[in-house]
Amino acid sequence: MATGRGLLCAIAALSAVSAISAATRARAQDGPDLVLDVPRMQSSARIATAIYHAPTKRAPALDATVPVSGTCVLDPDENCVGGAGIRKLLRFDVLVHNRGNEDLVLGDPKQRPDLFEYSACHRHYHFRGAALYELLDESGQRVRLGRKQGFCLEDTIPSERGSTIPKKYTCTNQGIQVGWADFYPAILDCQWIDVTDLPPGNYKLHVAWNPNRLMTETRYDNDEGTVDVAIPAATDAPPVVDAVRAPTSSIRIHAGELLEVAWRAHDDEGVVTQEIWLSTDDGETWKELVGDVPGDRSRFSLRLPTDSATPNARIKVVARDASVQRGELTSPSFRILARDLRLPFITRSGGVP
Amino acid sequence: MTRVAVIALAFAMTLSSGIASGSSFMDDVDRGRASVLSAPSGDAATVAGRATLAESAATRDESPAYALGAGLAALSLDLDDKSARRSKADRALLERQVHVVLNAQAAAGIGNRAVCLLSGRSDPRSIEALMRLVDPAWSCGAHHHAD
Repeated sequence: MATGRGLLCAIAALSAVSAISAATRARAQDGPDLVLDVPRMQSSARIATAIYHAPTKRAPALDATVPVSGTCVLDPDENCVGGAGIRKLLRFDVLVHNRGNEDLVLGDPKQRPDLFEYSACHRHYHFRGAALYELLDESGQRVRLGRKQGFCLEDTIPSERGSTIPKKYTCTNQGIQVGWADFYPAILDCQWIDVTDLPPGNYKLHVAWNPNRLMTETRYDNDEGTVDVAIPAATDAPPVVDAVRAPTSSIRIHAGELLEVAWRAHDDEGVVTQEIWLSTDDGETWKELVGDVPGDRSRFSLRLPTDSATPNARIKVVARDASVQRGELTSPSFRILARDLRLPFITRSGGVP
Repeated sequence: MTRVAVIALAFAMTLSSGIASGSSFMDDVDRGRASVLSAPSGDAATVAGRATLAESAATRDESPAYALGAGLAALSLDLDDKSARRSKADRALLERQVHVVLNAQAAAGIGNRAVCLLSGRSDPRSIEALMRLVDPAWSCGAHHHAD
């Protein structure tokens, strides 16, 4: 009898310890738990094309079936594409649920300079470093990085069907409520990785939400995901550039002056946009001077950078078709003289620089 | 007590696995969208047909997300339909579709920005013009485009 009572006491004590331990564990796990919806990322990933124009230029008349955008895409703070012109983009949704037992509370962005940064282009605050988007090759090496800078964390949609929890957090009082999800659909600007000029093949899209753990969560292992994606090969022939005319050695041209470039490009289905690149080291490295020259142009005047003086300059013209395939040709080497400082206000062509 | 705990744990695990298995709200939106986009081509070819599809979706499924997906798909087709005459009769049909979306939005408790994001359009603001047929103050909001 005494032994039986002792056993009961021991069981009761063990139960109490177990209950305390469970309660402690529960407290340790209280908090938001942001979960990346990997199936959504997988099902939404797709290759698309779009044309972007340098912000200060008038948009040329291009194929109306190709979406044209670029509000802040080419802003220096964003640079969501590698340059103006037609681009090939891997677009995908990012859907993040709060499946913890506490809200993620960030509050008024104006009061949190540690987390938010004002975007002059977007004219509102962005959470910096909310997510990392990267494309890996089959060996796991990063080949491209996403450039999306702006995230407004809010209750965008309920996570589950039939939820009756009212929306609480907005872009001006940021956070994600338990049972709600924040949503960045593939249609948004910069919600992509620019895959222009990557060879066709199999890749891995990796998204890490909260990569720097700036948002405190109960667990972080469900913040990221990797899915297989394929960049398909084009089925048509790439464009051809078969002539580029740039200055010959008999023409003296100075840095900062207007340079006229002429070329000849063609494509079986039509050239969509063209780019003009400059090298000041005989073709070792290149800088894009203009990226959205309309496909029907074969001549373009552009101003050389003021720091482009070199004995070994080359011009390269790149033509792209609707599949974003490229054809290119490089000019012979030519000299760019130092800027003529004796005539600081008048160019050789008589215009004001 | 232990048995209760085990049952509770099993229930919690089942619930947790169910929650982790997918985004049901989004699944409903996708199902609703598909109900319009996969309808026989004649059904969705006219404003009247699209209004019928959106309204029948709203009555067929009790999920507001489903109605939202169907209504937004119908409006998106309207926006792409360059042949639409936008007559008085057409406008009334468009308004019926907008009402499907507004009712679903209210039932789901989501904001205007979410509606624009769920529209699936690369130009989410285009949906605004149609929504304003019924609610002139309706807007995607200042943060619609790139957040």
